[in-house]
Amino acid sequence: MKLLAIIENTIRESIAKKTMIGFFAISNVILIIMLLIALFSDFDINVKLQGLEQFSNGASPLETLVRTMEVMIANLLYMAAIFLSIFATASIMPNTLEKGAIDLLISKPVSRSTILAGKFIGGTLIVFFNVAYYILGMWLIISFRTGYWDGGFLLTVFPITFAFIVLYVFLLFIGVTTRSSALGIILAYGFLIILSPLLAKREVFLYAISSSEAYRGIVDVLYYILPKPDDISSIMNNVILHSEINWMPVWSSAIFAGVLYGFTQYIFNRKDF
Amino acid sequence: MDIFLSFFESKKWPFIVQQWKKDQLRRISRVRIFPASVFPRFRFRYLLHCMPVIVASSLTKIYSPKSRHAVRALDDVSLQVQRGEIFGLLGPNGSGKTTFIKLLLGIAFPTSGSGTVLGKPLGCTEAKARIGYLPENHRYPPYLNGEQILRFFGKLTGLESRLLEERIDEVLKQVGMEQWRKVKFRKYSKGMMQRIGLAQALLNQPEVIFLDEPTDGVDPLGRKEIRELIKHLRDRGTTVFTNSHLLSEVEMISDRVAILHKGKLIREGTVSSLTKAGDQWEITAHGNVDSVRMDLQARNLRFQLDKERIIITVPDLQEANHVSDLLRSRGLLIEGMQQKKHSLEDFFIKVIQDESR
Repeated sequence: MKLLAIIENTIRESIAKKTMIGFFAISNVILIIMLLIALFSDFDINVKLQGLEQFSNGASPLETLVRTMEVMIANLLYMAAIFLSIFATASIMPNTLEKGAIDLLISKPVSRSTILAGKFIGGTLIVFFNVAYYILGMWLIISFRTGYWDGGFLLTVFPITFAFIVLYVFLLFIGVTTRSSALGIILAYGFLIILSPLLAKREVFLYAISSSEAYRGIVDVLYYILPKPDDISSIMNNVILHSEINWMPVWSSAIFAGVLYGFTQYIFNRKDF
Repeated sequence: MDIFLSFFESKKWPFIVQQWKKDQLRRISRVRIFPASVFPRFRFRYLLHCMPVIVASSLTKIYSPKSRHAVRALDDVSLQVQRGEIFGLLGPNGSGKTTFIKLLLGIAFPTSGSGTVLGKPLGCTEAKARIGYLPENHRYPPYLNGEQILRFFGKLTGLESRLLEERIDEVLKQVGMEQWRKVKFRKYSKGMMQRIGLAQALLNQPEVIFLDEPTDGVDPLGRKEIRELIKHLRDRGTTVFTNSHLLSEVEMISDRVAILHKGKLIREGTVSSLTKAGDQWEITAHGNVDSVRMDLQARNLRFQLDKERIIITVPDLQEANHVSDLLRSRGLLIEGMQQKKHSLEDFFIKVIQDESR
């Protein structure tokens, strides 16, 4: 009951701030455009399929075409959704910790762990529903237009939400320790755009800087310890393409998120407000 | 423990209970009738009722204790607040009043010392369900209306939904916000925000309520209503712990006050004992004041003249009687004779100035 009240309030807060409404509106605009294209374009699926046979690697040309489209859409959505979600949720914890607001929450018979869990679940649910709505809409349009129905694209909602969760835990940590949403956004974007791709392709970029074993060891340790949103996007592609999945980025990112969440909880429990 | 047991099992206890009920009925709202069949529970509750509601033992709070900029916000503060009291905590800005409340509510943690609220350790969730709190500069979600705010905080308090809806109606009526219940909080005036804050603090029918500057931003009429509400709460047995800069208001409602200065508790007592100006008495009379002027000067007494009225300050009750005899013998009419008092504000300023020297 108390946890539900906090989750509900977190969702209301996000709706009131309009950022999530903006996210939802963008999703709708894209879906409408895609629907219009699907309904009125002269796109002839049979003509397009003729040239694809040589690239199909055993799969049917229709499958190859649809999955390639879905991979492209999913990758665009992956970055856009995480960008917007970080922006929309970064202020949840700092707002909660504002003087006069946190005092009231803590004065109620609700534990600090429930408050943090409520904020975490609330933020995650908002992003999950937004992403799920967009993915479902896009899947329906593509499937109706092409006549090829495959559930792989629908599953991309999970890697996208998972990547967001990992970064959201980081935002909660920054929020609890510094009460700054701006710092959280900067660091999360920096990690997502710079650090994560560099570490994922460390053999190409980072190993070239030095041949020192110690240096490379540090880079490797960083890669394995830190979350891997870049690798998770590759997993998402594999889910759509029904390819084999390397689960290491998932569990190592989950361990990072779990440990960081626990540490954030520890700090939050001991903090004076 | 044996003493307690033998006492309660003796035949004297019903009479003691009767006396206790008479004494507490005025102050305690939820006086429970304890039949003999629940005797052990009664005994436990009776003991609970006798215990102070708030106990602070050597509470000390140092912010950033390991840094060069450590701030000793509270220094070895010990005090007790009894059930059904209105207790006013006074002090200049930065004296540690809000920190003290935060420690009691578990919002901040003491560096040393301990305490209890409603017999539970500081910050205990179980006790918080029986506490109301109106913080200074509270920030309610601006996107919610008054009713939604109360519903949200009611749920956090653990109120069951049907009871919660009933309580929302009751407290909105109590604070005069019924017609504004559907209006968004961001559209409220300062006074209305304060009223909703108060309603939120009253929602769970708390046994003890902490009010940090309850009349802040409220107009004089609203302040009077809040004062009456606080007194009503006290009459129902709620313990009220209040912080306020408005000393005249604290003086009007508080049973006891304490003064904090630079984190230290420097005075504590009933309002009347703190504002009493020694044994001095003040006599007001009117008539031919010139006829007594010489006698009063001879007795080395201070007096003020205002046309045909004279106000004389005398050092003690005996002297007051002599002077009143003198006044009557000279044909002056005595309008009043009362023990002289300072206002709480005068007392507060004097104490703070003395401590600052």
